Amino acid sequence: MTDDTTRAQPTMHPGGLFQRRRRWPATFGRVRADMGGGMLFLALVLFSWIGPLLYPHDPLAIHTHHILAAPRSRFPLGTDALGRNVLARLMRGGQATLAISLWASAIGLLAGLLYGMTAGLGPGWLDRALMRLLDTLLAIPSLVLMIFFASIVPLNETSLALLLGLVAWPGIARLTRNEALAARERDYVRAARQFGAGRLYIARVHILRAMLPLVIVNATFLMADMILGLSGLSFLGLGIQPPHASWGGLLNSGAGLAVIGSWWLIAFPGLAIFLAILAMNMLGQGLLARLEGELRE
Amino acid sequence: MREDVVSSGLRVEGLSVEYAAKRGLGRTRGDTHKALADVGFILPTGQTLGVVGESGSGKTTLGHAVLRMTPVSRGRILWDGVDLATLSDRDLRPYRRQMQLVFQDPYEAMNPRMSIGRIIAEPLLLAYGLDRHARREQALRLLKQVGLDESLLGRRPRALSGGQRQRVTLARALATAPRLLVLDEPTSGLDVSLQARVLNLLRDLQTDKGLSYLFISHDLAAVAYIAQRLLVLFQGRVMEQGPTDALLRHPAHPYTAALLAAQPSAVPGRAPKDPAPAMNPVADPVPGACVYYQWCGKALPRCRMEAPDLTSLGADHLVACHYPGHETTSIH
Amino acid sequence: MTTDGLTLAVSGLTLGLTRDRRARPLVEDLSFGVARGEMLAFVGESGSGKSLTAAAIFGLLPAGVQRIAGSIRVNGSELTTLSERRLRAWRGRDMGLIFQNPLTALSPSVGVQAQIAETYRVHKGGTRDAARARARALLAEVGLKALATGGDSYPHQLSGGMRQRVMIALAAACDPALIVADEPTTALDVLIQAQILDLLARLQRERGLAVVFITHDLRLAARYADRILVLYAGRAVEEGDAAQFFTAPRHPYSRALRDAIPTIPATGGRLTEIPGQPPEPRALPAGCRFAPRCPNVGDDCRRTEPAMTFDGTRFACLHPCAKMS
Ligand SMILES: Nc1ncnc2c1ncn2[C@@H]1O[C@H](COP(=O)(O)OP(=O)(O)OP(=O)(O)O)[C@@H](O)[C@H]1O
Ligand SMILES: Nc1ncnc2c1ncn2[C@@H]1O[C@H](COP(=O)(O)OP(=O)(O)OP(=O)(O)O)[C@@H](O)[C@H]1O
Ligand code: SF4
Ligand SMILES: [Mg+2]
Ligand SMILES: [Mg+2]
Repeated sequence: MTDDTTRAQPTMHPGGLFQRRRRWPATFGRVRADMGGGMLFLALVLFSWIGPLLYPHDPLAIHTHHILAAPRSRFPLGTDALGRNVLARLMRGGQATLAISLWASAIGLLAGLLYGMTAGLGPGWLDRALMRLLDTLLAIPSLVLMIFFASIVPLNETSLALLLGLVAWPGIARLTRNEALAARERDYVRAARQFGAGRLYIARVHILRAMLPLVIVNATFLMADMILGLSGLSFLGLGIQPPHASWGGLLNSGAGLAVIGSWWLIAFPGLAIFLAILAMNMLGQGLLARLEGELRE
Repeated sequence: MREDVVSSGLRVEGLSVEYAAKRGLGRTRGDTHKALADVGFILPTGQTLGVVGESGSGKTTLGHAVLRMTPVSRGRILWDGVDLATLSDRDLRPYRRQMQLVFQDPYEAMNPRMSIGRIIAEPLLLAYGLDRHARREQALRLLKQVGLDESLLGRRPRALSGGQRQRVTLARALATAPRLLVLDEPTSGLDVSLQARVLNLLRDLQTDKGLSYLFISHDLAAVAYIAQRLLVLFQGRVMEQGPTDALLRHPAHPYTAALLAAQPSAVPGRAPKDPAPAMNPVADPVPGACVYYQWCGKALPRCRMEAPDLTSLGADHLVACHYPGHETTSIH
Repeated sequence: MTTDGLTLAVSGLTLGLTRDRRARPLVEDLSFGVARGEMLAFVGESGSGKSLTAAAIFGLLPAGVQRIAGSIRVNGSELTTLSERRLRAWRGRDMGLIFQNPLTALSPSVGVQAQIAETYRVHKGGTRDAARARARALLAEVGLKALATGGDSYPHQLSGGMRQRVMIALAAACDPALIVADEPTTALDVLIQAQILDLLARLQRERGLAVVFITHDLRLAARYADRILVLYAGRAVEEGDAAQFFTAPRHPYSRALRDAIPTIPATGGRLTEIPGQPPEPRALPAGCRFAPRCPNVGDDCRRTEPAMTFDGTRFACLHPCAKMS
């Protein structure tokens, strides 16, 4: 009877990829989660890009006399089976991992936004067609999709970023589309239409902007997924190809040797991956809490 | 025909709007719900038509349909003789700015992230492509017109009171210099002192600019103050239509009378002796009967067998009732 | 005013901001009483302090606002000294509150029969079946026979008017002595409004309830209430018998409120506006708070804050309107 119960509300909890996520507390002691996460992430970035300037060692150089050396002053994080410097490789691997994940998230975000906006703001038939297509794509497990493409393209940083972006966009696309559908029935959007606003104007001024905070939150979660995804690919031998380093690759190649005592081969890359994912989750969760607080007001 | 006489202004004929029915018990997919059925009226330039009816009677739907903001199933919307119902979106554009809507809920009608200045300037940008400076100037003029202070320009909708919000949406609607305003319950969320101010403002604007108003409300007193003619809606159908004075002095349709009786009139202690008519929601209308049959306090057997047509009751006064203005003893 | 026999007796109630102690109070020195079977209407513009007063009676003041002084007695018992736990027992059992938006007060995931039954059981005890039977009887009493029989319905399945009836049933579930209704019909159309207020008036008469009815519409106040209390910027400016009040208000603000309302049939002239705006609690004018907007204003009004005087009605004005206007 009254329309207040049926009016579409902006969805705070996007479906798909992100729904299963557990909630983290928004504050740890007195440090806000988003601040902590941001600082942690910044530290990892500094480690990967500024680190090599302070510790200029070749990650590919082979020290034949120091194979599987345990951490000590000359090799602070030890060496691997070929006698390469793990600290140097960890820094170089951080560059690859973080850059690929960032690019992949950006690609997924952009593609998802474009696709979702087109579906949400276009005519009904287009929306139905695009959503049908999306469902079909989602029906294929993303792992299968990635293995398929990884086997037909050369694996370098660019192709990996594209590959990961390819599996990342559907979640964002669906979120964007749902938000756009809800937003276009808002009275202020209808008012703009009455003043002669076109679809592009409405998308840009009213819908994108309303959605941006939520999208940014999801982009940080996406980034965490990309880091994990890239590491997973490395485990299948589909990540950055040796001899080049990535965190996932280091973890993978060290896994066999760790059981015979070379713990440093998996401890440090594992910690790096864990910290990166923690950072992104804290950032996302903190931002989400902030956003919800703002909406409630 | 009088067609040429009223060729300037709005003339609506046989307007019907159907929504997909809310799916519930016993309803199958594809059912439609008639939100408006065969509504017609004339609104000459510079006049006000009041649309009254209870919640859910189709008032907002009518206002939106006239502006083509909701899909029209059947009927003609003649604006200066041009049928807007048949125009494509592109052909409709030049007409859009001549007709504006003041939304029922002013807060919902403003983007909460925009400043009041941007909100008011939006139509200026969209309709005329004015530059920033000209937009600001015009926005100030519009604010002044509705009696608001320029200090509001930088604020967000959240920081405004109900009365201020209502006037901001009014200012924005005036930006494109429209000739017709659809006012959807413009005062129902306001306290009495703000209501008086908005009603006076609307009347002044009408005299100044020769605007036509489609004034939607369930408050008969507010409508009586501003409208020359009234249209009474019940379940999307016209129950009665005619000059405000005649309708309120001698309501011919029992539903109009019921609305009038429920009107808060300041007769102390009158309430207990004169209870409001029971308007409990009854599930579905009886097929073939008058739509008001189940609620009507005057219904006779004929009302159950045969739905009354809208018939003339003297000059300009139409009513859809078999026994208009009669004292009957109900069969209920 | 004696407080004996009054269901609700409020005296000297003063509410202010918790943080900003130097700011003037939001509600100042408010005193009133409601007897058994009587309806008192609170009338005033938006922001005059109507809802805050209602909240104070129930000990439900919003964060940031606190009671600075004053006593609130229900059936002779002082409520302001009660602990939160004791007060919670009073709420719902001895007094019920009805909001403008019933959805904020009803739980969305529990059926309405169950909600009423639960409230009853918490306060009055008894078996589940007895409570359920009581809930059904109440729903029937407020005109919701369809909801009283068969399965339970959820609030979102009901129309605005039906929800408000459920709220009334809930408020009346434990035979309270007092019901406070804060703009119960502002969100509803006139037909439903009349029904809801008729229902409230009937309960008031039949059960001898004391009712505080909050509205900004003087017509509704005059039609339903026995007495009217007009608030302006947190202060009572006039209080008196409803019938007399509407025909001959003495305070210029009461008269302005009355004259702002359009009449049927329309008189043809302009509506009388109240010029200006109510003052912000932070920037109250010296002297009479209404002085900047008052048609009767004199120099003395800007110096002295008028005290309540009695002359037919109680009012606080130095230049009251004539007795018969
Ligand atoms: N978008 C929609 N889809 C389906 N049904 C709708 C839609 N909009 C309105 N309706 C239905 O159409 C009928 C008329 O609704 P409308 O909003 O026009 O009523 P109203 O007279 O404006 O009521 P109110 O006084 O509550 O604003 C109602 O039964 C409503 O439920
Ligand atoms: N939580 C709060 N913190 C600070 N000030 C408040 C708070 N709640 C209300 N106020 C202020 O107290 C005054 C009275 O508010 P109240 O809600 O009682 O008004 P009202 O008479 O009920 O108005 P309305 O008709 O709009 O409901 C207002 O000036 C308001 O701004
Ligand atoms: S036709 Fe009959 S049922 Fe319909 S309104 Fe008139 S008297 Fe009532
Ligand atoms: Mg409406
Ligand atoms: Mg209030």
